[in-house]
Amino acid sequence: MPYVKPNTFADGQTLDASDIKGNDEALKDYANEGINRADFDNNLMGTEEIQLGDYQPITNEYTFATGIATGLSVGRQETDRSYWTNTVKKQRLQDNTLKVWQSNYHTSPTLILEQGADVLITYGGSVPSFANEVSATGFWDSQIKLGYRKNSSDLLTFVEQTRSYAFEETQMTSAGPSGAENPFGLTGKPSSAGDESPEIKFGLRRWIGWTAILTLPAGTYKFSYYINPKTEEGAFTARTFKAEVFYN
Amino acid sequence: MAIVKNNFFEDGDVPTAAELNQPYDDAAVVTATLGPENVADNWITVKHINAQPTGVFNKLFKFIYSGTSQFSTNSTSYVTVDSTGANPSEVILGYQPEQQEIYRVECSGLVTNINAEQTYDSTVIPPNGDRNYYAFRLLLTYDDGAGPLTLDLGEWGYSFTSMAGGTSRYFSANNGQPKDTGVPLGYQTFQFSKVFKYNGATGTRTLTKIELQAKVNYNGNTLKVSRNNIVVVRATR
Repeated sequence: MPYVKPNTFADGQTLDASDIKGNDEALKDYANEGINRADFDNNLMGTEEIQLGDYQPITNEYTFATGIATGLSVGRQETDRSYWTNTVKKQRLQDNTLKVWQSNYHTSPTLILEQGADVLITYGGSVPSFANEVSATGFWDSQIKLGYRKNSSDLLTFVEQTRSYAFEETQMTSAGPSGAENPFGLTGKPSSAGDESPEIKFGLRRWIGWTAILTLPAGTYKFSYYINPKTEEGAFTARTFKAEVFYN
Repeated sequence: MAIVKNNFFEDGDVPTAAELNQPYDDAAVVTATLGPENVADNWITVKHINAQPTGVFNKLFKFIYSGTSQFSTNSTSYVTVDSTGANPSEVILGYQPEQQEIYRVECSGLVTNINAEQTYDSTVIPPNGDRNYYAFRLLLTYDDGAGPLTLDLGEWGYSFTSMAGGTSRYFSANNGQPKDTGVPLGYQTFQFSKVFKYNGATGTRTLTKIELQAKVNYNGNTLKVSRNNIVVVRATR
């Protein structure tokens, strides 16, 4: 509602200080939190009125009034790998029950959502496996998923839209990999079929790309791309990783 | 609101009622139409934006299937992906874009246990040909007032196996045993995106939906897809 003048002056009237003070007080009240949405004309505001983005160079995060953008893009991912190993499990290295999720630090933004938002995350990168010194028997379907914690005390929530696998398998028998085909060949070591064997090369290095769309309430979210490794040595990185927040 | 001016008086002046009323009357009139000259730059923060209804600045439309059921096809013409049989992979839009409006489409998914019988990769046809391939496309359905029409937003192709070239190499009939063909590329992800601009007049076209469709180049090969999603980001003004 616009400003309303409480007192009107008339010619010949004795000027009363309280009338002027009343008008001034009303104007002060209006200026101090009395302005509301209806007082603004439609289509009058330009983009210069919207808060400038706040850039955080360490985390490469740009925070805007309408959302957040962060991510990375590298030309040579070989120089900056996030390694994993299944030996931290100590036993049952290829077991499907005992899961040890290890994260890719390239893909670990912390997003503080000031209100409910759609969060769009995209990833692209190769995920090679390098070595397995022990010829173990078990499952080899190293599974990879995006996960996040809302607030630091919450458990990890996995995003099934991003479910991926870290090697090519030659047994195509079910919706999920059987995981029973050793990607390193019959003896379980890379040299068994020769390192340059096409089957080995393609079996141990694959490109993975996905897009995830999440609708999340306000809060603090720690994201990362996780692998449950089943080989002794491997690595992943992000050739591209992007997280976009669209406030509702 | 324009800038509100005040009247200045010298000692001994006798102000008229009009002069006394003028700044207050001006303020009453112009505060009904506050404008950019009344506010500081950068004042609109996220706290000032009304969250209801949702989608003030960007509107997102999405389809998500996260399960493990599989869509299976050996069709050589495009069919809509439907992993459960009752939940086709399509984003319902249902809005009329303004002229020059831009939208972005992102799509991804997981190919599962493909079944490849023949994976010739050759321009020599028949009998071989380029049978090693399958493809996805995003199909927009829209209506200009005379019934539904479609527009192909883009096509993206993939290979069943890692083989490259050749008229004599093929995938073993005993699926799962590569024969001079490299390895089958199962359990692999697909991902693509498209930016599209609408150039027609405002309010004359209704965007209905966008579907994810797939086909194979040879009907002896079978493509299977489980999880998949489509996201459309509408940039509104």
